Amino acid sequence: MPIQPLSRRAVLRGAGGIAVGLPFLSAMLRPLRSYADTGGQKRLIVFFTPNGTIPDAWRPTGTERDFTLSSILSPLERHKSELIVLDGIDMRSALEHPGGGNGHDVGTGHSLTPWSLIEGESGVGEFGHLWDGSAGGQSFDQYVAERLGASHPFSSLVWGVQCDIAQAIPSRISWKAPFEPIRPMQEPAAAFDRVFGSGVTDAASLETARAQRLSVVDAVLADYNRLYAKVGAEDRHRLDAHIESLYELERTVERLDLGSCTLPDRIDSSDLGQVGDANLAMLVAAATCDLSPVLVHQWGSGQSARTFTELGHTDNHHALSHEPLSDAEAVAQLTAINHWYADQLATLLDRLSGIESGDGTSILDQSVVLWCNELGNGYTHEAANIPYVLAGRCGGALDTGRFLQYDYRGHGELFAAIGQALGLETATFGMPEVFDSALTEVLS
Amino acid sequence: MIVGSVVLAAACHQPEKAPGTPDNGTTDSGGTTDPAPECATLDGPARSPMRRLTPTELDRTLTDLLGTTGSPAARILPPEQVGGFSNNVDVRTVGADTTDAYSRLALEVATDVTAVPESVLTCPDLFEDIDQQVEAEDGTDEGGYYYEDHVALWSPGWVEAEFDLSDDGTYTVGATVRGTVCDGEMAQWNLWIDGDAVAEGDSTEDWARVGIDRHLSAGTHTVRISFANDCYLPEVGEDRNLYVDAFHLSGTSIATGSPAAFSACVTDWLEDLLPRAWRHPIEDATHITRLVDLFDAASAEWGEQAALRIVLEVVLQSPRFLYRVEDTVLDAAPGQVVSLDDHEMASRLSYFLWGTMPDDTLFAAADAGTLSTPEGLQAEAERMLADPRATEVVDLFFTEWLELDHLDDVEKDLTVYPAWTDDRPASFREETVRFVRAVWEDEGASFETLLTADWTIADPELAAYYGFDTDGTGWHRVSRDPTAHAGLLTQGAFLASRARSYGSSPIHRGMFIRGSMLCHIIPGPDPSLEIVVPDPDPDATTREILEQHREDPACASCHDLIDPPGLAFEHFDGIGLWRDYENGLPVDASTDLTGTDVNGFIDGAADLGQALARSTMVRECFARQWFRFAHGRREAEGDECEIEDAAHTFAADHLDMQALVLATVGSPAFGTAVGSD
Repeated sequence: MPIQPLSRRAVLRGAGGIAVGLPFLSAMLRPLRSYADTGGQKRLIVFFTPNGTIPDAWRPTGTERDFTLSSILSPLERHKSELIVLDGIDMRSALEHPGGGNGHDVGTGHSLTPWSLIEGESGVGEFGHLWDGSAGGQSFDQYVAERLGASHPFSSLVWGVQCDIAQAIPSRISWKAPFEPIRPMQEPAAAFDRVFGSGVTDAASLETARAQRLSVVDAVLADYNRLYAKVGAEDRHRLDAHIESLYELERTVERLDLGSCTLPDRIDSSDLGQVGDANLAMLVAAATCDLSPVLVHQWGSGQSARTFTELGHTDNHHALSHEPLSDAEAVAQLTAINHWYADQLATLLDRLSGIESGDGTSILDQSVVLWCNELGNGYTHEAANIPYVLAGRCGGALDTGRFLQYDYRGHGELFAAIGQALGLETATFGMPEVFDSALTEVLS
Repeated sequence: MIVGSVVLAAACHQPEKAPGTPDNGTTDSGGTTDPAPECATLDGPARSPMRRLTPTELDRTLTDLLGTTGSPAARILPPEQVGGFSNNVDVRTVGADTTDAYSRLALEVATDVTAVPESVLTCPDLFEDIDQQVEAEDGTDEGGYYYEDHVALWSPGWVEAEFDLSDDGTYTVGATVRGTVCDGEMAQWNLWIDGDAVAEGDSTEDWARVGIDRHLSAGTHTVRISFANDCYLPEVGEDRNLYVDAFHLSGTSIATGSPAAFSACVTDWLEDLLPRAWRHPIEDATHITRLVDLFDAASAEWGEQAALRIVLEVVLQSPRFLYRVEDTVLDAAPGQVVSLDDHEMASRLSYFLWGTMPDDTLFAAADAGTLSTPEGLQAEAERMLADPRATEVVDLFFTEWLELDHLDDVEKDLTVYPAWTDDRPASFREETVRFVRAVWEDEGASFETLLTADWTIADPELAAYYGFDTDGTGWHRVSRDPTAHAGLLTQGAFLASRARSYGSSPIHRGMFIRGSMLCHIIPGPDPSLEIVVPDPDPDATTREILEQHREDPACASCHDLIDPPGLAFEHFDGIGLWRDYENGLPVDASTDLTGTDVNGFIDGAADLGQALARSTMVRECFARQWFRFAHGRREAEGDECEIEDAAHTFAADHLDMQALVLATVGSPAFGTAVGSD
């Protein structure tokens, strides 16, 4: 994978990669973007929840433009005109070409990546897990990030709550490429420091700190590039990932300007409720301050074992999803969990619709929010009938306020349509074997 | 829509035996009856990937290199996924959040180290402590009244003095003042530097020094104290005044040396630091001159202290610091097997046995070339293994092999197990860690003892929990019934973490035996199977419930291998306590072991422990685990011979685990590497 020089200095340095690590002079700073310039910036927001849903309590009733929200979706009532609820979209790649891995790997591993899973060096391990395998392609959020985020401080930002389990495949939904998963930021204080530069806003200090930090990054990059020239195939991929991350860091340091940004609070907590709240506050601030056009929130790993004590539960989410549908209490609890997620989404939509972008429309108007899940019917653990919900008009590209029903369309087709709504002219997404045509019905 | 409702028969592998293993090895631990395997032409390891320091290794390295405290790497770096051993090179990837964290870690550590630059750059005549003072009565004023040794301001006015600085720096600037009260308020002083108001405060009745820290450049600076809140109430005898004694300007470690002197000193500093930071003599001097050039350029822009910090930040993010770079391997031709040089061996040895950079003794051995002889290498390895620093690494191996961190996530149904408390996992972990250490240090590190001991280490509280009799205090050796208990696998840490919230779990316990002790790979259930976890049945035992699912041929092929070893633990419930009955029915912990080299009838966990201790497959698997841990990767086909050899030495040495570790050090995979394309 080629190293992409992203800074003017890298070009000036020349192919030899020799850097004297000159102090960074303010005059060379790229003009920083301010939000006012970017009225009309389209945005993708991904809202991922685990363990599937209770289909009968999720599915709306009614017709395309005259429908009633279910109990699970009822918190979204006030945003109904901005929603597209989709029934009958399957992760066809997961059903027809799962790749290796066990049932738990497949749902999460195909969520934003409609390709077969790939085995790693160690092949198949205990319980059939692909011990060091990977999703089979670049995830949809990263596809968008690469195209929309090239000049932002961050091409994408991924937050999460309790997302780490032993293997990558059942715990990650964002993949820059096969074998390059993105770990969601799950420690709010560390995330704050990274995204909001530790909260330093004094202009003079920022300038000096920025220039010094860039000197360091440049010198470090030169070191890595020198070593890269020496390594063999065994280590190239590893160093590639590191070097690419350094270029991303360089770009962030160059471009991050928080001068006119209202920072969220810096929260230092490991309480899951507080982590979720802090993440969403950072997501909204990142949208408002135009730090990135792709913002992802992952509400847990696949097969999330979170226990919703805030709902009075004592069993964890994953265990509940294994209970048969005849167990009324389990069904009630699972419905409550999904209702809670819908409520979180409704609050997020409230905030995004309350913030004006440069041209008088709201951020939500200019965005598309994708609520996705690793499974459909949680009990059967099927990657079919995934409860997708879209929110936001995406700058007018999406025809919202509708309930669409399908019979066996693939999720890659949905993503291609969303790509088109974002102005990316996406003709296809995911493996071609399960792609017939983009789901253009969602478009205006 | 469900694709296909046909239940596919899960193709269960015949468990993979390690090569050269007899089917019915029933040798005792004293030795082995089969001859040493023929691995004559040991071709070196299958792969030699470059390894990145783990956060724990990084913290220890920072402590040894720079005296850093507080484990900043563990605090700042994002947690890494653990699949198998946490140092596995193929599982750990670097993302943007990691490089951002490395940069913040380097900034924090470097800021700390260079806070007192003269402790880093110790060449003479580079830094100076400045302490200047100008008497107020030698300054200029407006509205002041001069006494012999101070100036009084009875009405609003000011007094100021000038200082000449020859160097930039951070100075403490201020004055010695006192004041009087009027109408309940003290006279307030206002401090100005070069015409800017920078500080203010209330004076005190006694002389006191007031001021602030400020970065000042070389040149002349004016420092002024002004007084504005005048007050005069003669009817009550109150008069608010401010008095100024002298002005002060001081600074420690002000860089007063010439740029050339600094350059030379930084060069000296790097010539000492870099070989230690990169754990190898620096052959190419441009590594150092490049950093000195960076210092010079940064110093001209931001001053010497910032420049020093910047250079250290670069050193601490360098790939040769964060990774264990072995140039010998990088210079090798594809497929060529090369011996590592002495310093590369030192690094491998110290990271394997101590999880940190080499100490001075090891560096000296490398310098002297003794590590390139097998005897020299073994001598150092033995020294290091006997050192307390090795304890942490041994702890880490067992913590990860036994997956003791799962204890943190254990949840128990309190209606089934009212005796369970939140602090029980910690006490179980303490028991197992101490037990392993006791075996390692006091029982000849015997693997057999690990699996068969009729004692454990417990404190009175834990002993009472288990129902063991003891008179001891603190954590001490406690006897257990040898017909019931045998070593590690009958301790709470293993039993309770591999259990359900409401009961035992032969499946999870059996999987550990199959996967982690026999190194057999059992594939998971086919994705198209509908798995229904049976509800607990108040009228049946766990064993009986499981039997039902082994009747289904789709499940049986694998579960006939998984469940039996797990059933041997059925006398232990989900919280690690012995039971004779379950749901009023007598417990049956007998089982038929198959697919091993110690097949046959097993009655209970103690019996199983004895069988496992006899098994050659288990020994090889244990050797395999140490291989993975030492090399930070899973073994490939080309590594099999090595593992067999190490297992053989292990068995021949009375299953002494320390001998296994030393054999791993002495193996070709440890001392050689193979070049890549």
